[in-house]
Amino acid sequence: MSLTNLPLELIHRIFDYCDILTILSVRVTSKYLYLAANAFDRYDLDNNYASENTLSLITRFIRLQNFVSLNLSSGYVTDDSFTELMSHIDIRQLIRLRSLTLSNLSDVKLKQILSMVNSESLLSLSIQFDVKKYSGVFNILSSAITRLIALQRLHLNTVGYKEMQIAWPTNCSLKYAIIDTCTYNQYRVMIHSLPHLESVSIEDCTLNEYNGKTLLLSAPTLHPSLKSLTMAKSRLPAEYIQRLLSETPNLVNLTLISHKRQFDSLFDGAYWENFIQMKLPLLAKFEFFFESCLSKVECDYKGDYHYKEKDENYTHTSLSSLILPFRTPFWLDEKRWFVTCDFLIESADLRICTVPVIVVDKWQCYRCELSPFDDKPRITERLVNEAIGTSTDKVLTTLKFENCGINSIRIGYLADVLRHDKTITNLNLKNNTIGPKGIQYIAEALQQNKTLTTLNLQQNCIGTNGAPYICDILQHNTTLTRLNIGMSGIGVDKMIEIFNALQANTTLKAIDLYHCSIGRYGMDYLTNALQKNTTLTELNLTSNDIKVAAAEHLACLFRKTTYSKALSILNLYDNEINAIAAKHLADGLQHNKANCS
Amino acid sequence: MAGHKIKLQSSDGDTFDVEVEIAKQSATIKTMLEDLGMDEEEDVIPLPNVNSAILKKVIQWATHHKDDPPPPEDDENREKNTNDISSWDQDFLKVDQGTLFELILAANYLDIKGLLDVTCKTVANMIKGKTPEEIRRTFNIKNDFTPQEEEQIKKENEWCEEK
Repeated sequence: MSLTNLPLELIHRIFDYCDILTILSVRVTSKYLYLAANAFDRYDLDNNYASENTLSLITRFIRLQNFVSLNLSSGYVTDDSFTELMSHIDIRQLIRLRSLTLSNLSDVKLKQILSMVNSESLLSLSIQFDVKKYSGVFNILSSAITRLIALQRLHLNTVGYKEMQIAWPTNCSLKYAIIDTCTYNQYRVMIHSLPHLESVSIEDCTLNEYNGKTLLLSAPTLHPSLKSLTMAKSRLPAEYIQRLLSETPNLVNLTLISHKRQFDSLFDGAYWENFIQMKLPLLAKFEFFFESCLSKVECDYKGDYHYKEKDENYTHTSLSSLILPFRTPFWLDEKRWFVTCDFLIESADLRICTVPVIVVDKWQCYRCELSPFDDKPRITERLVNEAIGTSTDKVLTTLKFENCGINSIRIGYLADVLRHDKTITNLNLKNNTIGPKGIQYIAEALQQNKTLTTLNLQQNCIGTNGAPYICDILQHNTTLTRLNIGMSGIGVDKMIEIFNALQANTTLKAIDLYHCSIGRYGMDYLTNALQKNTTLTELNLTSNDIKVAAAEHLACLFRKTTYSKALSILNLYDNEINAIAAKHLADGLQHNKANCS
Repeated sequence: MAGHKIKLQSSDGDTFDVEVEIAKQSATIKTMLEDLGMDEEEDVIPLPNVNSAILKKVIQWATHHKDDPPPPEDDENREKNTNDISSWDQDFLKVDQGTLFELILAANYLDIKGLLDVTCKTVANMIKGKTPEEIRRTFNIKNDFTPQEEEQIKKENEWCEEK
């Protein structure tokens, strides 16, 4: 069985997916395929991939009535050569033309071509135009659509600009409309004017009216013909989306994608369940992808972005609580729509979407995700549209988020993962802004976590309010062996509480107290704690204003035999320790094997 | 009726139990069932144009795609895009050319639009961007033009060499 054994009809079926140059290559391979190509009557003509010479040759051995599709673009050719090119193709002879695509033509040429096209054969029309250059384009389109009586499918880059918009002919037979950008009002005018419209796809739907007038939600009117709606980049607020959906009660397919939106009712499964049962009873396929940036970017109803910190009064919505309303019998059994959600640590985007995921991630980043059948969130670097368990879905053991602007909101999601995580041993959050709230999330997670051994919290604005949670960690966690809480702005009083907690800790081997304003006063308590703690072997006291007297405390400590076995690495850099203090330390260290730098 | 099964018989006599809903993706079988008004499990639908190996593949494909939405009706606006083959289908169609063409014939005979589309797209992808000589090699096509015909075609196709 080979290609040349296939009947003509099936060869032609394959040709349907080939461009003309490919078919012409196949044509010269054997007699049978030569005949097949000559008998083929569904050729595409596209000036984007064929030079003028090639086009004139092509039109010499393929008769114009065998072309069903024509694609003309003046994007990369001069006006003269476009006119020259057009001299090879008599549009009127394309009597079986079903599909016409025109890009970047002047309104004079557009008008000329559209007036010559066979109105009885043309089913599909796609036009991209520059509305700012050619003001007459909407009138040309209106009269063309009126004339092309067989037209079923229309693709336009826009349907209106400023005050101008397409006047839709009455009783137009259009079934499918694809619009790249359109406003809420233009969409409503369109579905209102086209009674046979079954399917609408809009790339970018905005509320933006050029005059900045506030739109009022008018009384709903029903458009029962519409069965399929796609909005690939909707920037409409939830109430407008819900309003326009409630006007199309017979929808069977619905696809909604919206990025950078407010955290609104679109993220609420219970709301959707109720809405779909009430307003869209026939909906069989619902695909969505909603994304909200929780941390700083907010998008207003005009589509402008505003930067705000939302840390104040923020309540953490866990992925588990977000997904719960999407796991009712309505979603899982009746409709069989499965929903997943995730949170992007670096960008603080919270996303909820149906599976399989319809949006493709552009780059890899750390995501806390909750898959449709999982109870616990996990962290991954896998792209959202890739299957779990593939090669890019590697098991993470170390997470490094240095200088990533991680605040308490992001820590909330990370902590949800840590609570049950069994793979991550090393978490580096150096130089972020997790604050007291963030350390609280971590402390709570570490009460349950039994895997994390190294935690770097240096420079994170933990402050006096966050200090008690560090005590919590030291008191309750029995896995952590290395902790860095340097430069946390905790203050000596709270540091003392931490030292007290350290006293009873039996797991921690290393603590980094860089720049913790311990001073002489704090040293009393630290030395005291170290006398009782027998597990700590590494201590960094760099930049702690320890000075002579405080160093003596340490020296004393080292002399004690009970302690001498433990501490092996000690860093006292930048503490104004003079010769005398150093002598004390050196004496003490004779009894200890510590390295002193 | 969910779970209700029918028997399909291949050209070499093997029978396969298939859920009606899965089998009905074949418009040919769907019409047969409606015409025959079959409802008894004993009935066997003979498919004399499909052998066991291919029928097995077809059933495998139809089982995987049983929950797919029905293909769009506007056949006229069929997209030329051949890059939208799902990864499952791509793996499924990693077969020898013989099997691929048998699948096309079977999909055509059984009238399973989705399978016909995806198999034809796969072949189109194998052809695209190749020179005539490369196409001959890929599909093991014998150049059966006479020298005179060859000369004539060469003239016709001068632009092909320019590319």
